[in-house]
Amino acid sequence: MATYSNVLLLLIFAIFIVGVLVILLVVLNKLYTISRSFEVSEHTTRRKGRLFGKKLKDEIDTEIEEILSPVKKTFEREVRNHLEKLATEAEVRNEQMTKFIQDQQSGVVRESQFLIAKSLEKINRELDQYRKNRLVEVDDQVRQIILSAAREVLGRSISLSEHEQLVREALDKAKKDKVFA
Amino acid sequence: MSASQKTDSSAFVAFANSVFTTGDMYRLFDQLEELKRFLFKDKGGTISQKAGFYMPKNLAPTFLEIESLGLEPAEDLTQQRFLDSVIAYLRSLPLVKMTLAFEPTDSFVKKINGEVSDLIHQKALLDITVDQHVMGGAIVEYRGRRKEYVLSQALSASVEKLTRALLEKKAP
Repeated sequence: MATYSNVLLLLIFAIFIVGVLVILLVVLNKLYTISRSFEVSEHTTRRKGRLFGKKLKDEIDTEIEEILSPVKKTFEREVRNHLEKLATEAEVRNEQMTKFIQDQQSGVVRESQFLIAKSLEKINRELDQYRKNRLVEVDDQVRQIILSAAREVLGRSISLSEHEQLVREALDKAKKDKVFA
Repeated sequence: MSASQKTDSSAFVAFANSVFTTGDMYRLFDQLEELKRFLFKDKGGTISQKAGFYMPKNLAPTFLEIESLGLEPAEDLTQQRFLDSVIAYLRSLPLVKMTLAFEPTDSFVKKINGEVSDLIHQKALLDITVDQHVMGGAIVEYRGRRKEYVLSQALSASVEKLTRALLEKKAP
């Protein structure tokens, strides 16, 4: 009796286990199906997303192109203007530099001419002075020679009485000049 | 002016008349200083008596003159002061500097001294320098005034004129 009951219990337990397993299988199958549907759905969504993205990108590109087109033109115009301005400025600078160099060159030439003229003038002046000095020296030497010769001759030729007479005359002149006043 | 001062001045003139140049004056100073040595020897009498044989010959007539006129003091101390006063008087005489080209004779110096003394209205002494470069004439200097009346000056001017004419190639 007990064995029968046990077998019955065992049978019931086995049936229960099988039932549980069946339920588990069903559940697993359902889960698999859901998972597959999700996968398909995700794949579709991804594909749709890619398409959408591509479309969005194209639209954005178009929009950006539309927005950027005038900006680009303006930018290009500005760049062109700026480059033209730079070119003009460079030309002006170049002209100024050329003029500056020419001015400097002419200044240097003028200064050189001035310095040369000054040097020439100084040299001429020094030569004149040297010539004058030499002439004065020669003049002085000639005068000294003649003077010493004249002294020699006159000194010997003046007698004592003539000397005394000359002294008297000197005193007379001194009196007239009021040296003794 | 006191009588003694008058007497002294008259005596000084006798000494002044015996000198004509600064050289004469300094020689006289030496002689007067020498005479002082014969004073204060406890000997009485005049200076010439005290000097005796040592009295310089050129001074003897002058001392005789002032002694005969009674112008010389009698005492040693007053005689010393008298000699000092003579020296001071001679130092105070006006000096006339003259530069000559020749060595003048004594007689010529006396003549010139007389002329100069007449010109300045008092006894003067000549300070004579001989410089042959003046050639002739005289350089006269009196009380800071100096004038050249010399041949060298005239000759220099003539020579300068001549040399300038020669250098400028002009006929002199």
